Amino acid sequence: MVSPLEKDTVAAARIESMDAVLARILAAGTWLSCALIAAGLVYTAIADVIQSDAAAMLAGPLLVRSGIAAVIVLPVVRVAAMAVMFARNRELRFFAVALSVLVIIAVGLAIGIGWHAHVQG
Amino acid sequence: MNVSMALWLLLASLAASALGGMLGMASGIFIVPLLTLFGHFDLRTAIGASIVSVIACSCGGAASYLRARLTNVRLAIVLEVATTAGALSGVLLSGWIPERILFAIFAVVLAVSAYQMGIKRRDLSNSASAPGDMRSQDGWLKSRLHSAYPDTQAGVEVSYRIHRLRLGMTLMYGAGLISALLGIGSGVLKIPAMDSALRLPIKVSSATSNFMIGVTAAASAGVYFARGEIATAIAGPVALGSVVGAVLGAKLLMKVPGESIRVLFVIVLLLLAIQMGCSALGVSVTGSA
Repeated sequence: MVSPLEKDTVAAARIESMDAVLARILAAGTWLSCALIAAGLVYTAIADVIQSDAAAMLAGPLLVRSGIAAVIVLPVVRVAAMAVMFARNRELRFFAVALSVLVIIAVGLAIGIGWHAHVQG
Repeated sequence: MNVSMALWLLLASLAASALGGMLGMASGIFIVPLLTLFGHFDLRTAIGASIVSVIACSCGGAASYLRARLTNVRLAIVLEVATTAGALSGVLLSGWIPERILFAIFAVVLAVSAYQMGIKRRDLSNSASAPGDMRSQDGWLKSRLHSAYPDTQAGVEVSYRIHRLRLGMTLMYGAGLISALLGIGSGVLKIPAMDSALRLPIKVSSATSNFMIGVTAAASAGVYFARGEIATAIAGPVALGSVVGAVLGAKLLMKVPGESIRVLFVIVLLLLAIQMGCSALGVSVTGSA
């Protein structure tokens, strides 16, 4: 039989390990996306100075765009990671809450893009 | 992509973000006026660039708060249901709202932010003996959101409990909506929601709010990005400058006297509110076409 105090201690330890994992994901993701943007900007500046051909000039903006995409995806990855950790800890109601956030984002993306296509069409 | 323009955007957003960071403020509220009033960019382009920088700053700052155990991640994920739903309403509304109205809403948000900065935030939280003691009084969800944080100065663990969750969720829906419409972190609604409705300790409030801003902004930024409404040449340098600026600002926070900067910021916010208000009325103040 597990006492309420032991339950609290186990729950607190889980929150702490979740905090540490989320901190690592967010720090690494920010570094990666900023590095992509910085690399793209430096590449563009160099390509501009040495007056590269048109194909080479496209690589810089592509890197910057990948970095921007990484920035936008990062918080969604964070929510997905939380969902996985809640599921592993058998905290199914919090898993459902995290899943709802992902569903709202996905539905919004579908409606937002669909609506735009409808208006454009 | 114009190199000199990219450099201007990088340095301007770095400065705005560093100044904001000195007061623990997100830079979003300065980026849009900076781009529209001084860079003469279109309002929607500015909002697209700003929303990306808001996510980058949130993610960049979140790690240190998490390591300090100040973020209430369970409360954050519950409130994110409301903020992301609000953000989606904002995205759907954004196409319908005329630019002048957006300028007017921005002016109001700036004026309210100036007021909030003018009056000091009050800590309405009430510490309690242990979260376990209060569980019987609350429902399933609320009882699992009470938590504790380490007060490093006093060297003790401070327990706190959550109040008025429904009111907090309602305000958070509004915060998500404003965030998507204006491309800002919308601390203007998050501060009353966190401090007054939920009654979180200020350190927990700041950390949890920062943690949530990224997901809220990503919900709308994803749609803007997929629709091709985020200009790479502007959003890239602005995001990079903002993240570097936020890091510098947080370091400067320890070294500069807070009170004089607070007064300066109130004045800057009010001036920006007037300028954005003039844009709403179609009056140009900075000489743009």
